[in-house]
Amino acid sequence: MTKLVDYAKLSARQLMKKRMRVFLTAFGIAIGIAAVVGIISFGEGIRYQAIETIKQQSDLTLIEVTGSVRDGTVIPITESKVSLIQKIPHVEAAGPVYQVSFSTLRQTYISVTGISGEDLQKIFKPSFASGGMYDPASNQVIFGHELAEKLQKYEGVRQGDLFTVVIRDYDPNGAPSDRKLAIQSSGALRERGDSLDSLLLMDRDSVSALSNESTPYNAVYVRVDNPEHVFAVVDEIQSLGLSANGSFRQIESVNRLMDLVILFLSIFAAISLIVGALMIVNTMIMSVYERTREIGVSMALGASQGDVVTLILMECLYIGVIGGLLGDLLGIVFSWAINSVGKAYLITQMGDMFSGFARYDLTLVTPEILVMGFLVAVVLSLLSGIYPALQAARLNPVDAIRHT
Amino acid sequence: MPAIIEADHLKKAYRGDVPALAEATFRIEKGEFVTLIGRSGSGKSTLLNILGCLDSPSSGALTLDGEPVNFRDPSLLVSLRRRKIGFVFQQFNLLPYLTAQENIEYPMLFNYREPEVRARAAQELLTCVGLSNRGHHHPSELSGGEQQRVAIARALINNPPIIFADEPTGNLDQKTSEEIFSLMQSIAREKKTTFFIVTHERDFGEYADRSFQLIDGKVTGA
Repeated sequence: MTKLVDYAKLSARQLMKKRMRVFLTAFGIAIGIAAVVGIISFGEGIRYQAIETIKQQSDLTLIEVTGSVRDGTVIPITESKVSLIQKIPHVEAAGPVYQVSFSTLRQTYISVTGISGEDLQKIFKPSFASGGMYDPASNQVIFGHELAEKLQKYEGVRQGDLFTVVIRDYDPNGAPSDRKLAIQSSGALRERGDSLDSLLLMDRDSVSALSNESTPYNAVYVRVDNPEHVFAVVDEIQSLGLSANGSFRQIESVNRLMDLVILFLSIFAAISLIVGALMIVNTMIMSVYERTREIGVSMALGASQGDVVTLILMECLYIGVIGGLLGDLLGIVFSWAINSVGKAYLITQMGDMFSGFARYDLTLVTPEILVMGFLVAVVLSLLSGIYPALQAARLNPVDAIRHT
Repeated sequence: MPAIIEADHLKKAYRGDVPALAEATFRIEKGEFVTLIGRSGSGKSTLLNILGCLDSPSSGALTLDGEPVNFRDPSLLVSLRRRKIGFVFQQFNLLPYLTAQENIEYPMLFNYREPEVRARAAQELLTCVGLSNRGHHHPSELSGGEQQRVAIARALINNPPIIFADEPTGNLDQKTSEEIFSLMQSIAREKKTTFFIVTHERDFGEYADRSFQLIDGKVTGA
């Protein structure tokens, strides 16, 4: 440790001799880092806006779990799986459902979800436009907003009306047979903007009795306490061998897209980093050349090849640290400029279409981005110093001492 | 008396067969003050570089302080330079961005000694070479003689048993040169350090316990 501290002090003294050259070299790498920080923060800003918009427009904490097929084996939703899902941390409620279909006498197709009244309340917190909840184990149903409108328009069915639906069964030979069932709507939901709008909801036990189904269930609706925990809960569900779907998939899509966009833009920014790295290589080769005699003398006085390499790399480390800090600073300024100038310009140019963006910053500089920028500068500087350092270490001390 | 330097038929030829050192066989005892006198191009520096483990001979063997030198083992050569050898150069070769005291401490960095130990040793040596009040000066603020005194102190910092000096007074006037030789001689007596000094000036032979000559690449008078 003493050795490294001493070498760090010695290298600092070396660099102080040629401050301007060091500053310009570090500035070269800083421009590259600023470009990377600026571009990534811009990408992150767009990502943040997209995700926030999805969060506002979608029910992120709702997950629909279905069975899956793995290696040719069907993994059904059994009572035990439901119980395991309910025990996952951050799961507020998990309600198993049956999914069947009815048709009206005029052949209007209706998707039916059988869910217990308690689960419906906990998971969907329904708000009624008219009427209320169905009674348990009854033939009462609830219309989704869209379905209510459709039934009224095409079937003349209003909330509270008793009407007949057809349930189609198939015998073991695949021959269909129809059964008729009289059902009555206990209520109609307000518009929600999700899948419930087009569904007919019925008590789970009633659907089970109608369709002669017992477990496995067709799906489980899961309510998570907080959007932050959704992906962790999804991971747990998937580890049970089940599939999970919901609005969070849109976030995954946005993340995938933005990762690709940021990577693509970063490649352009990397070009300036390469130029910065070449500047370091050049500076250090010049530095080694100018100090050939000093390196030879140091070897005569006991420096090993490793000591020489360490001393040269220590100088590169300083350049990297200065370049990284300067690059982060420039990146922050760059991001600020995009926000203050670029945002105003875009809003003026694009008007209402862009007004949603006014709520958020166009760029998002996170500590992770700054740390990444700093580390890239340091690592790149060290890599750039390897060739000059090895060149210095391979000097013949006798020739080096004679060098003028 | 045990030999501190034992050269056995050392030879050096560059690029095949251009002889730089034809023959060097001699034995130097601990604490001796030896000069090697020869004209320019006679092979003095070549011999000094081999003895100082900076260059390897084409043939022959070398033993330093009882330790045979394996010229094919770079880590051993570094270790010998750290423990057994100090160098004084004609051009002083002080690092311009370090003070006199820091220059003296410099070889100790490669022995990984604590800063306090280095500073104490450097201050003692500054006193020893008569520069106790010049430790904080940079080389550019020192005269040639003072710089060479600093260089001598730097060569002594690791307390090596052997000091090699290559034309240590080559850049100094007559009076200063005599002072430097006198200083080296007194250090040799006081610290029992062996000095092996290469010079082309015969006058300084009078300071030496023994004086070799290098004529046409061959050491004579050994």
